[in-house]
Amino acid sequence: MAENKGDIRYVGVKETLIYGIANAGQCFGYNIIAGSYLSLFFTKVFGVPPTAVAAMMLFLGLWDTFNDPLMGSIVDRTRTRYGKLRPYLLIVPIPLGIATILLFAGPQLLGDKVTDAAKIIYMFVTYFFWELFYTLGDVPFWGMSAAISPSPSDRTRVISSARFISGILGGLSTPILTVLMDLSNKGAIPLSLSQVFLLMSILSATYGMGLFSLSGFFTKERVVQTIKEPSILDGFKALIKNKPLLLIVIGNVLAAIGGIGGFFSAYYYSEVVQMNSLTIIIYLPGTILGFITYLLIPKVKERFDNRQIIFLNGFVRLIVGIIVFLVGVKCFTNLWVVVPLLMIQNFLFSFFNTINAVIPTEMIGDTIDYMEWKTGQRNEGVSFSVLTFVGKLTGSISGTIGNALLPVIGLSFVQISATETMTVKAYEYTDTLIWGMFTLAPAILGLLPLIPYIWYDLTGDKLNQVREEMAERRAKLSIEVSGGANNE
Amino acid sequence: MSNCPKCNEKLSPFYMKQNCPKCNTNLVYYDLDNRLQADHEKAMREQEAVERVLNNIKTSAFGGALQIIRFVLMFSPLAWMCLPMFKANDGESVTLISVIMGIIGGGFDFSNPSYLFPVITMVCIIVFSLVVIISSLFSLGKKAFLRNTILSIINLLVLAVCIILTILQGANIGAGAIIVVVTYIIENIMHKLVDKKISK
Repeated sequence: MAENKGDIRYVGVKETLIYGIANAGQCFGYNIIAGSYLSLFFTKVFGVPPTAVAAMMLFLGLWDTFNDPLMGSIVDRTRTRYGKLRPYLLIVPIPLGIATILLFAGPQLLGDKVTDAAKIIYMFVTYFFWELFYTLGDVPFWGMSAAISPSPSDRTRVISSARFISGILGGLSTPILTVLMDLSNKGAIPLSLSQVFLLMSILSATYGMGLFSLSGFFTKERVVQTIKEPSILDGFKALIKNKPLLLIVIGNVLAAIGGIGGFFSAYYYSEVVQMNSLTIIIYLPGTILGFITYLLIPKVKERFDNRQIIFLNGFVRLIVGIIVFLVGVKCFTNLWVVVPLLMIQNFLFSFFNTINAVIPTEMIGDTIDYMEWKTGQRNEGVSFSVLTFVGKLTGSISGTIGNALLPVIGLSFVQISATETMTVKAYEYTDTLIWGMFTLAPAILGLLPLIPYIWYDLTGDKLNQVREEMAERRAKLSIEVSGGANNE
Repeated sequence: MSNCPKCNEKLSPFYMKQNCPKCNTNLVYYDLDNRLQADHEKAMREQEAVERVLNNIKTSAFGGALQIIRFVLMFSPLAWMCLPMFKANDGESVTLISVIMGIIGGGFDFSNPSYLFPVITMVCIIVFSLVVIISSLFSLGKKAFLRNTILSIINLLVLAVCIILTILQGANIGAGAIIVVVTYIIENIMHKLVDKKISK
């Protein structure tokens, strides 16, 4: 009875799809900002010195370590008749949309004749507000994946839907941006690079945030929360006491270091082969496999537990990364070699990327149930703030390290006019170093996040015990609170 | 504006508290057990409807060798368009790849009608083929064969008109365009064969 109750389907197909579409809207803008295109925008288009961009990424990255759990705790304290997560999903898309436009509007708003100091202040302020609102939207959104249903299979479905649909619709922003950048660079469209970025930010704010707001209107919270709000301190305590969650956090933070591969990929396509839209062709086969992989997730999970999948991912990436680096090291500008090589790499990686997109989110949901099982308190806000924080930290750490490495590897940009910048490569081997940072470095650094998972034990029998006992407790609780009584 | 589910008190959309101001019922959890049951029943109904649609698609696209051949055939114009579709009045071949590269490179001459019309033809092929593909994914049902056939014939007629207009602009027809026409004719025959098989 207990097992059946835990696996009952409560979330319908429409709600599952809407959750996915909302994530696509959110990701549409996020993909531009979290990818290295924000750094490229600030350095190459806005003309901010790379050291200032690196300093901002580092400073705001450190601020997030405190700010994100704080926002999570505020979400956990929220108790309204609409639920604890939905109010944020209804309101936040509006300020987040405005913040997205302002982030990319610097060159238009400030004009040509401003000092570097003014640009740096503008960049700091707009990025700070964008991050604040993004966190206030992202934490409740992912918290909803655990609160939408008490059933683990419902949660897996909504997470898969979110990742799958955001991969298609949300992923459109990067190819659109790269094509527009190429067209702008070649003068095929009457838009400068700064106007291209502004256009994309307006699209993100309207189309993206419009879709994101659907999650507030059409999803429901179905897991019973305590009526009494936990204090902000309780939120931080819960985070520290939750050992499996802490191990996931450490693993994800270490994984962020390997994110420099993503940072240098933009510079590889933009400055080495000088064809940003090449990514569309290179990612195409992998993208298709990635979508098919969503259907294979249940099969993979039948064979391996979540921890085993994470280890498998790390080792496959290491082997493939080394091979790709060695094959391409002498000919990384030869498109006849590089395009099929990177296509194969992405094809193999996309399988694990898809699984990786679902499993850590699902694991955080497990740790929330685990803490509820242990303490009686659910902390979706503070727990998923970790996911948000790590997501941003990936961009922040990789952006900081990457920006700091740009002068070391001899890559810099000289502004020759208000709208034009010239690339300077100091060494003969600068391009080779970019290739290495793009392919080899993330493969080796990808082993670091495996270390904390050696101690992760919320799998197998232990996880089943938590799920079964929680299903029983919830069944009783839902009958108790149905009369509208308080659940202390 | 909504009402309290217990005492029917009117609540403003901006009233945020969890409890009804009149009867103090917890608005979030009142009748939760029944609402969960209703959600479960609704979810199962939606699931059944999706399964019916998926079964329709599965049978129509992958239900047998004929369906698979038809499905692949309907996507094949994308490959045929990579062959020379037309020869423009300056002797240059126009293919899907040359159009894409020309647009990305900014050197595509849209002002020359013998380039512009092949592009319009290719856009029509893509759009109308997609319509036929989507329609053929739902080949179960009484009117499915008629609908598929009508759409395929419209597709063929549109292509024929596009080809004629392109030739009138001074371009010559290429192998790609001829193969697409042949593909559309075979597609129509396949609709009939698939329908016969499904009807059995």
